[in-house]
Amino acid sequence: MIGKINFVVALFCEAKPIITHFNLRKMDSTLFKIYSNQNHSIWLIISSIGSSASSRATKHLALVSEADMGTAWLNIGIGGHDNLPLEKAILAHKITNSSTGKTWFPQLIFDPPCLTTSVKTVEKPDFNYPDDNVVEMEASGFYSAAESYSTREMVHCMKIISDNSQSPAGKITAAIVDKSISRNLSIIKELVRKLQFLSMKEQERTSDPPFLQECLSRWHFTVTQTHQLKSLLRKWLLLQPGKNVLDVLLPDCKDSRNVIQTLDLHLKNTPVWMDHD
Amino acid sequence: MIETIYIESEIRSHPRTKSILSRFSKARIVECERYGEVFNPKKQNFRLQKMKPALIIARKHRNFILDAPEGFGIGGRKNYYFSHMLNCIYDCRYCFLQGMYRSANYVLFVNYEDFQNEINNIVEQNPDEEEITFFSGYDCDSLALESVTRFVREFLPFFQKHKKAVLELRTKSINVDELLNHEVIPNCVVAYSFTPENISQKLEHGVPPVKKRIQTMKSLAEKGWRVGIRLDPLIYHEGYQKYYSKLIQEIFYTISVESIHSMSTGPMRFPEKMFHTIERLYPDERLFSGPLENRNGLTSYSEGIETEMINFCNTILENHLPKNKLFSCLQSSF
Repeated sequence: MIGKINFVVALFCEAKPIITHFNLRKMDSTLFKIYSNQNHSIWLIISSIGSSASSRATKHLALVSEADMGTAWLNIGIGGHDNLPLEKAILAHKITNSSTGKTWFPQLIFDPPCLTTSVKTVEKPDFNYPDDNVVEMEASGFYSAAESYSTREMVHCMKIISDNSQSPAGKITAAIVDKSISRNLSIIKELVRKLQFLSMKEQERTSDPPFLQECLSRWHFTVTQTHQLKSLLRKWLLLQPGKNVLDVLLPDCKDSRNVIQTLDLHLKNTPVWMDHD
Repeated sequence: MIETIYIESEIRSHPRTKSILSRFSKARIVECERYGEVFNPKKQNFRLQKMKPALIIARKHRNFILDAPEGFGIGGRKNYYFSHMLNCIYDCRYCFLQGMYRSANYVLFVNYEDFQNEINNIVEQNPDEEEITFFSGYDCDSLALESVTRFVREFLPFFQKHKKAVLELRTKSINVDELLNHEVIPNCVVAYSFTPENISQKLEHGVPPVKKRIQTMKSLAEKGWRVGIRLDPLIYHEGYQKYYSKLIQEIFYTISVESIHSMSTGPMRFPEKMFHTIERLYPDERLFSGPLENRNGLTSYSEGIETEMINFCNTILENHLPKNKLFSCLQSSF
């Protein structure tokens, strides 16, 4: 299993080093520019600037990439801070939408590869750098949308400091942004590895049990029965590891009801050995 | 161990908050308005958070002391529970907390005095001589995070002054220095939860081995503390009779009967919805593949299995303990 990760990035100059490093190719898309790697385990969308744009792009990418609960999400972009040095990478441990006051707390269940700080999303550029926050324009829109598809452990925002009180935002150019992101690629790669690992664990947890597809193709199951079947096949795997349920138990079953009853009865009468693997 | 600490802004300057922070100088500190902002959101994964739980320092505002669920008790008629903490450092697969909360982070309520005032009120409102039991290890392990919470250190002197109030510390921790260094108070029961070693190794992740827990209980008993033994939940599996017999024998071989305050057994029960949450979190867990069924809104072993196991254990226990020290905890609500 390979972990899945979706990037949401506001500008092409922020995305370019990521696209190049992960060897992403442009996909056919009219609404947004979308990129993906060969096995579609990594996707990237360019949202344009602003919280609403980031939210829309996130939702669109979820659809296009067929994101599920096992997909990790990462917003990467630039931001300003009063005194953090230029090109410093930070990971958000708190995100606040400055207009609504709503907050999100991304859950850091891994060792972050960089400093973590609070991030404040503003509607218009703000050069006052309030409250020791990194100030930027996308994180809250991205986060509120992405957490609909995943959980807070797997949705994160990384910002690279582009301006501070000593170096105002007016000096920022596309080339500078490209260079800042490129210089932080090793941190981005490490973060991606960690998120891919979590994604993989979640995909393992939510994956279909063995023999499900074979059963579904042999008999017709309703939606409710399919849920029951999944649960029973998972139990089969735990109580009869390595045994082919189709050969051992179900060869004479005539219909889906019969399959579920046979499995249920058999498993209820199977001893549970807790100390055997 | 704890790398991230969330703190409600309101109690940033609380002496207990300051004391905890002084012991975690390298921790990442994140302020929030109310702990629910971090702890309650739907989109959280308990299983993933168990990999690295954070600490949330908060103030509790109401419901400090609650009536114990029906069937939860060790002899007294008046039973209450209180939770200075939500969640546990251990990761026991049968624990209802994993289905109760969306987050695995530990919430610590630092306004201990408010809990104590409420206990005091309850005690004063009951002027007769009957004991009132207060269970502290319902939503957490009472001792396991003592190095952070100083809960025992702060509550023992309080209960020492309120002799009618019985404190049950329920735990699997072997971290008992605080108790060993404190004068014994007779109205405190240190209750240890056990499953047989074969089950413990499979299901009680991060919990000290059974032998060590029994040894710890022995040191407490030798010091004069009253100890409780909780075979709760009873886990049904092939050969359970052999494993539970061995566990009970080992306990009574090591601990003197006189020091045992109470022994209770309890079946494994979950509210149906809670069980489905837990099963979805751990579809690879053999425990949930056992012969469970839904009865009166609870997922549990069949009545027959429950009775068989309780009777089996009680029959052996009655050889060691008088009946008035044996209890069955048949909890029907959570």
